[in-house]
Amino acid sequence: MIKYVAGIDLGNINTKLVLVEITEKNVNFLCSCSVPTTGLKGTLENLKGIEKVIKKCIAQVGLKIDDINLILLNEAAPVIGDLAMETITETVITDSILIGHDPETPGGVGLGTGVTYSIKEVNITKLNKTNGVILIIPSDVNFDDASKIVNNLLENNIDVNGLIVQNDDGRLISNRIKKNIPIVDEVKEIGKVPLGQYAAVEVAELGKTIEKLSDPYGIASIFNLTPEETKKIIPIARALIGNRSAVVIKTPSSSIKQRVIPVGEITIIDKMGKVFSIDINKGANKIMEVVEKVWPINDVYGGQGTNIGAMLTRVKVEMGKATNNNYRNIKIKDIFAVDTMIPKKVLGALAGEFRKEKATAIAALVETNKLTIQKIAKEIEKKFNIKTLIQGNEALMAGLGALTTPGVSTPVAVVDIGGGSTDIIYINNNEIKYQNYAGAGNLLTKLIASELGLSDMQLAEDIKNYPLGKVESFFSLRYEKGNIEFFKEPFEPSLFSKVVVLKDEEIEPLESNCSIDEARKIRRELKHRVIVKNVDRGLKKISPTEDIRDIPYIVLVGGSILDFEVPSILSNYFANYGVVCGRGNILNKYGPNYAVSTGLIISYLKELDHPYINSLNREIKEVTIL
Amino acid sequence: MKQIIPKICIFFNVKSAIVLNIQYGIEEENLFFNSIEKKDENNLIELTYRATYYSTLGIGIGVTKGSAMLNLQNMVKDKPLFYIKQCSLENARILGINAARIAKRVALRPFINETYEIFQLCYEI
Repeated sequence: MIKYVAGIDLGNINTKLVLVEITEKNVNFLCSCSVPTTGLKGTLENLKGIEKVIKKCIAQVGLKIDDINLILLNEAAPVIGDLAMETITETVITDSILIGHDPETPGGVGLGTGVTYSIKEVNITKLNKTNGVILIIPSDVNFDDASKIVNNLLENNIDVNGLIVQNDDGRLISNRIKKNIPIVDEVKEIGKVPLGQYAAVEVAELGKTIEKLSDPYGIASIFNLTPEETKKIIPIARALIGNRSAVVIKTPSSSIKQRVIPVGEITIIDKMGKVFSIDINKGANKIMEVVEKVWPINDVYGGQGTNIGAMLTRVKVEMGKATNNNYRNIKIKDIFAVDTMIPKKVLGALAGEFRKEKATAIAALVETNKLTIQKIAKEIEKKFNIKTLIQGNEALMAGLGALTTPGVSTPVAVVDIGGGSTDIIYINNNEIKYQNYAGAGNLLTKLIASELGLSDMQLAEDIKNYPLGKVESFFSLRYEKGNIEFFKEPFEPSLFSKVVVLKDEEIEPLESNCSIDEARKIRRELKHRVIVKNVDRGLKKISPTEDIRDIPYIVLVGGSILDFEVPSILSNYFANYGVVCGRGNILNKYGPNYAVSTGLIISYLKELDHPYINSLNREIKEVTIL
Repeated sequence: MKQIIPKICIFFNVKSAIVLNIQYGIEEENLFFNSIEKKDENNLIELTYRATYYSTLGIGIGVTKGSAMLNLQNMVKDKPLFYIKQCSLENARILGINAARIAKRVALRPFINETYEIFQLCYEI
């Protein structure tokens, strides 16, 4: 008798299905499919996605929905993860003091100092001839007129030493005036530049960066500052390092400072009810130290009115709704903190400058009871008239699926990195344990978006999953590894000279103007700081000796392992411990994201004592899943 | 030996403010250009394509009354990179900037919105 069985894995991000044909002697794996999960995992909204994945799969193999005899569901560990970010520093410029922006084409070269005057109100007879003059040119004065006025002033022996221009006219003015003076253009908020104040304008030669205004002593010598005042201008000098042009204006009350925003505390409660508080300002390392010390965690709270506090409550409320529980009964079981830098607009800046500010991102994970999945099973039975079983725990199923990878033996740790959580399963003969941790693919995506200054999450997701390239001309593309490819058809003008993400069939430009090397470095470093660090702490906890060296095999499964470089980054890292670590090759056939759905089928076959089990790894036969 | 200076070439059949602003755009980006009057040629596509061959950089701009076009020597003649049917002075300046940026291999500046649709259309001709 032929039986068709579908193993369905309800994940946070995708719903995955593996369909098999079971005969008395043999098992035939027909196909695997994946569709996005509808709604929050473990809720009735998932049904739509389940229906979609079944239809997609049967269409591929030419079956009807009635042909399916049995559906196996995982006991979707009701685990959800969410994350929040808390900025902990901000830069504030009070009473405009500096313009540190980098227009693409400033004019002239050198350093000029003088008192600021508007070009509209400049009056030769009233000017003080001993001091230099810095002229401000708003957008309604065109470059031709401006150049004539400047030339006229120069002929009258007025020392015009620099220009601050609103339009993108720097070079045009520079070419039309008789003296080489530094010109900073594209200053958006030119109306805010104070008049009648002493100012310095510096433009470096092409290919160089400014020297005087990015050096505290340079600024001190220009403005005759006292040693105390020099100390205060360090942030200005620092903000200007690496620029090709800059303006610094000294006003009596001006200041710039980087201040720390109080973001409150995070409170962790351990199993014994002991309370540990930690200031988020102290950074991710300190938070994680406390988490390690307190582990296992019973619950976590955030301060009222903070982003983290709101996030932790939101996760609880969401989970409460999904499981029909009061949110007060929902507990947070793990948090994972990462330090990051977010580009933020500088308050009070004149040219829309951005500074990178320190921030801490925290991912959280909750667990609840297991009622909802039974509801889903009942609904499926009702809707499709197919018998539906809850075959087993998600983590254990992932472990069983991962064991079908050729070359794996026990003791083994299976690392399942999904969107919301990282699950680690340890299998040694009959000893099986598992643990869920906060922090996985979603956290990585969000951090990539914030560090690169992207607003588009889908783009950040693509940057995470695909390699980068640069469109170097209309007909050529350079890959991040350095190879170059030529094309017969030209690229669109909007892609010209942009850093792009190379998706399978399309290429997408990055909005931010960072270089390909920078974007690649940020992406790889974040993968180390999030994925490697999290897996490392998880494995240390689950290893019987708390040493990773005592786990000889590590199998990587889950959606985040589909990423083009995460498996190699992890393999490389754990090779240092002398551990075999690689991507799960489920049944030597399916990708690492089908571990759970395959595990469901295997678990079912083990229950049947099907002869097919004998053809699999010895370990699978020996493992007993409760 | 004759020295070849890298130049963008502008061919126009009527001298106008559009031509001037294209020149300003190229100048602001610090590149060299030739601008030559071609009274005999009224076809914009032809004018632009001839300019691309005259330019040592292979970047040519054609200007007829009110319209401007940019093309490259290694692109198809009838599929210009940019065609602005009714060219405002701001867009003329951006066209000049973009011509220079193509030579410099720097990301292009977007044109001012009102004519953007026309661009897309022409790009796909």
